[in-house]
Amino acid sequence: MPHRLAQAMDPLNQLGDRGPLEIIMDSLGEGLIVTDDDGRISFMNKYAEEMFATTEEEVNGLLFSDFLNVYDKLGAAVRPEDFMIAKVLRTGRKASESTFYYSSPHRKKFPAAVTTAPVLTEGRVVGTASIFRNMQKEASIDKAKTEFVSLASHQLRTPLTAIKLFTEILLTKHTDPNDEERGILENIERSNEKMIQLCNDLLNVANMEAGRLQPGFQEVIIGDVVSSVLGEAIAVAHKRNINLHYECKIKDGVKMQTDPKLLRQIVNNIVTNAIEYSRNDTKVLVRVYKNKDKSCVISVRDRGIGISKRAQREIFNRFFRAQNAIKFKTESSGLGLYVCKMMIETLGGKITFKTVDGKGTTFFITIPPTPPPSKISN
Amino acid sequence: MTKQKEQKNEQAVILLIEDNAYVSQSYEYFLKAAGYQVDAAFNAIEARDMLKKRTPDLIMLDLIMPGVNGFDFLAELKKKPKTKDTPVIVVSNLCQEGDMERCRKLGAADYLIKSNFYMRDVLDRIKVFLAY
Repeated sequence: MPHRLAQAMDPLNQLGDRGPLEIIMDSLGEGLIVTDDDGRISFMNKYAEEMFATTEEEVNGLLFSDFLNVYDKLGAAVRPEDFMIAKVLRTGRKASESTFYYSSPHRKKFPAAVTTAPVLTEGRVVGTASIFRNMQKEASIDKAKTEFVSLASHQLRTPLTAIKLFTEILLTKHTDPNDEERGILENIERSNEKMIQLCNDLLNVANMEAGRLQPGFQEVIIGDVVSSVLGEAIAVAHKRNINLHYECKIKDGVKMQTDPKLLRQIVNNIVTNAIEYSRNDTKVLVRVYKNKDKSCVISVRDRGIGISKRAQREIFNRFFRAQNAIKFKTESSGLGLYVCKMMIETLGGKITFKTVDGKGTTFFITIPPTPPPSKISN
Repeated sequence: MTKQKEQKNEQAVILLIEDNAYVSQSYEYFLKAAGYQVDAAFNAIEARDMLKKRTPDLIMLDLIMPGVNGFDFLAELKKKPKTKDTPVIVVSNLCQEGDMERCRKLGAADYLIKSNFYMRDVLDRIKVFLAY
């Protein structure tokens, strides 16, 4: 290999004041930034210069954090120590991130996919090399898609509202429960409600993907949110003889700074799922407890169908539905867990699960001790 | 219901501003069945004309409409001495918290997301403002 590379570089030795390696790096179709082991910029290729509207001379020797501003997908600034260059210098392992935004003194914020790898000499990390790929075009396409979904689902809701109201009118005229036509009307009503729910879910997703979901943080008693969700779910659970059990050993409830509406939607989604995918005559156990780090956990355990190993990796992906879930319950959009994940991340928390295929699943909703740093606008 | 109307024991008048004919037709059906008088306008211009003829006890207002949109018309209603105290229930399919907040600030008495409400629930909300 080295021999072939040397041969390939031979003609380049004749050219100008840039060395052959620099010429090759300048020819890369992506931005390349190299730092030393202190995180100081030591090289930048032509494409990166264009990307950040700067020159190598201007930034050479600067700490990467003095030049680059990094933001997460919600617009919050990423601390330099949490950015990949610092992480790679610490761990010596390659890292990738495709959802962050970047800006520099002369360049406004833009999305990029970045892979940072350690530069190793005799097994020692002597610096980092980061490839930046501008994702502006992809982000614009994604934005257009989100706008389309938002518009389409919104437009769909008007005719669905009309169907809902007309059905309601007809139902007031067919009051006999044994009336066959009443049964048909009820089926229309149910199907229509499912369509409305799907539109609501799609709109929710579109809004979240567009970053239009702004949480309102306030002091919330977690137990109250859980109790209210369980209160509403009890009727459905009873029908299938599923016992909803709530357990919280902390007196006076757990108070956290979070968004009550979003949290309610998350808990409602997870509890509804637990009931839907439970077997008849089983128990769903909801617990609220605090971790040592003062984060609060709402766990929801069911004795349902479980999540197969294959499905576990994809369970939070949008529109994904596990094979056993489709067999158990045919109708669902596959958006519920995706929405939950996005919502809890907006609240600075996380959602995880433990499962045994065929035996049941426990979901853990973790609310952080403090809300995430305030969002800055895009 | 205003005092005058109470004395005369008249049915309350609801001005319904909704541009979708089907939705408007079904709302009108239910409102009349519940004993209200209904002035149905398809847009703000028609609503202005109807307001010249009589002042309603309650207004149901859609937001996305051709011509003057619901937000602007709500602001207009709240500026006019004749309607500034008339409760306005916004009935829209816009479901963003920001839209709701904007309407509240403009003086809406209530905000209902159309597709999420059965008419029986809408009637319950109307009753809150037209208590006999």
